[in-house]
Amino acid sequence: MVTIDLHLGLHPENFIPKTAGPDYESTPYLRVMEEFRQDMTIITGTSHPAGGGGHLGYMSLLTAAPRPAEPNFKNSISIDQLAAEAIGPVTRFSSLTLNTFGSIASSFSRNGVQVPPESRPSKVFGNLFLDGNSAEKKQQRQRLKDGRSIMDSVLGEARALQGRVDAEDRHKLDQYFTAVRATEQRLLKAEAWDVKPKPIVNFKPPTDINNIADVIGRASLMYEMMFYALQTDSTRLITFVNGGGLMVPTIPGVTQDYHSLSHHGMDPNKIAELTLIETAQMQAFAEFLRKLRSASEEGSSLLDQTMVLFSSNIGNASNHDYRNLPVILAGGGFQHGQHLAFNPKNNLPLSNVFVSMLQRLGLEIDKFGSSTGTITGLKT
Amino acid sequence: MEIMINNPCFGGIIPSSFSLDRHAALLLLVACLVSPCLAEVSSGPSQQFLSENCFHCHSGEAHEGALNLEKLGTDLQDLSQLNTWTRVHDRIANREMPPKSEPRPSTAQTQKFLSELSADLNHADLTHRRTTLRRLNRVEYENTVCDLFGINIPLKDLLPEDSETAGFDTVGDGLGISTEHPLGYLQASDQLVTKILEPDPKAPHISVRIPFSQEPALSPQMGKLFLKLDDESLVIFQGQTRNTLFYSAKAKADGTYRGRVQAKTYQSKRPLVMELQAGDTNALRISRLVGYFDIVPSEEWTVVEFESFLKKNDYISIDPYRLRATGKGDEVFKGPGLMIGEISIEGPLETWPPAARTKLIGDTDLRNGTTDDARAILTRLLPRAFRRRTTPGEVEPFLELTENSLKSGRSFTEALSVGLQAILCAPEFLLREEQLLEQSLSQPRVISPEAFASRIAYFLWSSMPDDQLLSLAADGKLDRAEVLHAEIERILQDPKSDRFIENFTGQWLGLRSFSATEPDAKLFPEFDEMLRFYLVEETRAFFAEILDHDLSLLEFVDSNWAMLNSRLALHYNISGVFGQQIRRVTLPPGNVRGGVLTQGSVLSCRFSSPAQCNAACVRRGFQQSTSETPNGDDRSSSRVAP
Repeated sequence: MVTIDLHLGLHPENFIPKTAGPDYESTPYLRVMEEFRQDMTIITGTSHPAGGGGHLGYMSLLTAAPRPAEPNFKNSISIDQLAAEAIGPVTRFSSLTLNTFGSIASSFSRNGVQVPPESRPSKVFGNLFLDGNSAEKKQQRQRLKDGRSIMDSVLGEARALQGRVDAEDRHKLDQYFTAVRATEQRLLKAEAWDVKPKPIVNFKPPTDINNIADVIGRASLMYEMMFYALQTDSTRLITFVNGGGLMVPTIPGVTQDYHSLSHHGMDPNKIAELTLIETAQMQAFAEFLRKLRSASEEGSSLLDQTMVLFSSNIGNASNHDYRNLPVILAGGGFQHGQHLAFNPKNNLPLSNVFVSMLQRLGLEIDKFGSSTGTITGLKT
Repeated sequence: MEIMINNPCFGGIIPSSFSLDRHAALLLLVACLVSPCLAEVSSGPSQQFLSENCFHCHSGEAHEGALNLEKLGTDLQDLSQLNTWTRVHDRIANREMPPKSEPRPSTAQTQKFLSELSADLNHADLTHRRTTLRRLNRVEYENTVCDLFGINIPLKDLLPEDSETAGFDTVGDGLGISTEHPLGYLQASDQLVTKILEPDPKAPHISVRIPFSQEPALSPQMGKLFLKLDDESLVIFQGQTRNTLFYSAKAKADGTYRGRVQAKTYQSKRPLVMELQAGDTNALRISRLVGYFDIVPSEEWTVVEFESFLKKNDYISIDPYRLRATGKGDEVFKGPGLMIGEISIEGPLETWPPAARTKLIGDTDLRNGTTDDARAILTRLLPRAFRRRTTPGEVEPFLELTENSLKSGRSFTEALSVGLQAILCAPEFLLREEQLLEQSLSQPRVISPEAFASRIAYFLWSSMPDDQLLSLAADGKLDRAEVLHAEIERILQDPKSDRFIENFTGQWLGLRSFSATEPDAKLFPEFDEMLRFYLVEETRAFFAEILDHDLSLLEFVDSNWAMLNSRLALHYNISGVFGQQIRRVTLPPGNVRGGVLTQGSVLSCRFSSPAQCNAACVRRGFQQSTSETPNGDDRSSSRVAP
């Protein structure tokens, strides 16, 4: 399962088809995706009922935690981390949390703590495929063992500390406990994986693009790493925040910064420039799907094996509307090829889509966040 | 009236009537923490004042503004009541209530009412305030281990980035602990301990001293980019060519190197600036600025000396700032150039064993250390690592790890490393436990003197308290005002207090992300690397000036002076400022560059339009909490350790 949060959203007029059903009328952005018509479902009219928070909405996009902008906001587990508890151990990396820059990420642990994202493709590549030499390997194995004894020992320390602090601090200490225990598990798993060699690949190690204004270049390079990770079955769960930013993207014809263009205020010149950026974003996404579709795994394409949720934490960036999120659900063996249009005035909870996806992954759940069921009209 | 500066780094609340007195914030903290003389919550706001002036509208069935003061309780332990009374206080203090259309009470009556009410509110606020068990952020983590062992090693990038709350990474509730954290701590402590305990790496030393014109790497460009004079000195006419490399003095090991350059101006009546960079430009690694140096016209050589950290394969490069004549390395060209005579580099300056190793293990021979040695080493370290006195039993779990490793036949160094790493991953090290002296629901909570010492140190040093501060705390001397004052003075004098300036301005004014955006080269052709460097320095220097001289906080809003050097003055179109040194300059009358709001760093950082920027500045810098007393939901600001 892959989720992509296009942080600044998509201009709704260029995305939302006017007609629903299998013969939906295409739109400028969907025309970029036309070759995937039968591999994807367009879902409109969904959002998180207690959403909001403008750009901060990314925090609850995959968690459905209510009111992300409120001061007492408490986040909860994201769908990828929930899935990782079930299917994480089967791969070398239980999940990957990625972005294009900065510290924003859409993965959150059970405690609502953000999973730190990686924004450097070279680092992702190194983790996935590069090995140390044999002395290093031996040292690495010893290090993992030491790590476990250390974790075990500090758990004892934390227990002692627990007796000295009050209820509120015990909550903080719980985070420490959970983190240390999870680390023990990860070290154990790492020891097991350590014995197995990393996949041998002939992909070229990437050179990171340092210019953060190269919005599309950076996103595309990360998409490529995501494809490698899936193709080698190094992980089955990836979240990716495709960031916006306050810089002028290096796209011909674009003269203003991405974020202020997204607040176009219906200025046609701004919308025109924004369309250039967003079209390029759609093209980069299409290229990712193209790679997935052309790779095959056990007789079917990798795309058929992988659910890809392309969405945004914002429905209309111009007025920070968190409703009517743009959603494309591609691959994963669903019966695609239609536009599921839900009520734009009274949205379907996005969590319904999540429940359908999590069930497809084999999780035995019938509720997530604010869900009221699964998504109707989506068959496998 | 008090305007509350609701800023996490100040530990909550500072009345605006304080200047940013170097003691003010701390005295306030002390008042919060140790003052025993706070009155009990009084019987409630003066009923007489309320019934005469407020009940007319705010009581009964038809009360206005959803506020029924008659029915509003006076239990200030209840957060919603506390918030409502705070709002009542502020609206009256701001003369918004009673409204103009109504008869108003006399000033004396109002003052009396407000002073009674604010005393109760302040007291109640204190009893509500507590700090969350706070994790060290990654900057603090790095500083703390460096100070604990007396070593300089970059570690923070091994740890996950900290999330910000209200713009700061010092807020307990915002600093979560994820699974990535223990992994990061394991990795960081491993690197650190390995570095301290490693055997003599026998780092190859270099010492090169030549006339720069003899540098072989320059010969291909001799007569093209460079001119060689009869006296063997070299003239550089063009900067930023990436060709003026001191390549024969390439570092053979990581370490600190000392350098010396002779420089003069050539065919120039005006001073020039020499820019030194260090790095391995061949490997496309970004080079780091060593410094900008003034070269004033003179018959004599100007000798520039510097110390810089070089990684293996790094070397120095020299550029004349803003000289752009291309291909003028012949004798006919009459334009200005930078003349370089002799140049030398020597290093690494570090000797083995490093001080950190000696400090940690004393005279223990690591080749045949024993359990007793390990016990002595860990016992010495523990109270400093935990920033408090420890009991003899507390070392046992860590010692046990070392013992077990020894028993399984591993070397003493390896065994000791495991114990040391465990201390550095322990919650007592990573979290700032604040033990309370006494605890009761209605009383302000009082933390132990050692926890107080930690607060001061993390506030002003972004790091652990040093031995002196900790022992004063342990001896109970820190609650004596003169001792505390002397300590604060000492702490601010210490170069470590630069971290406070860097971290605070870095977050408050967004300087940390200053370089995240690139000005459009077409719109701002004058922007260059030097300006990028000094714009940030300007704002830090401005903050330091206010801190060092106890100036009023209002200077942040508007001052008749600025911290400038020649580059900044050129940028701001202010004449008469020469040289690289940033110093205080009195601004011409009517000049707008006083205060932080009009500084280039603040204006350019992160915002795509001046309007956005100003809005953010006002929000961040001058946040008023007059109508939003920190409440239970807003733990981020009220429950913050400095």
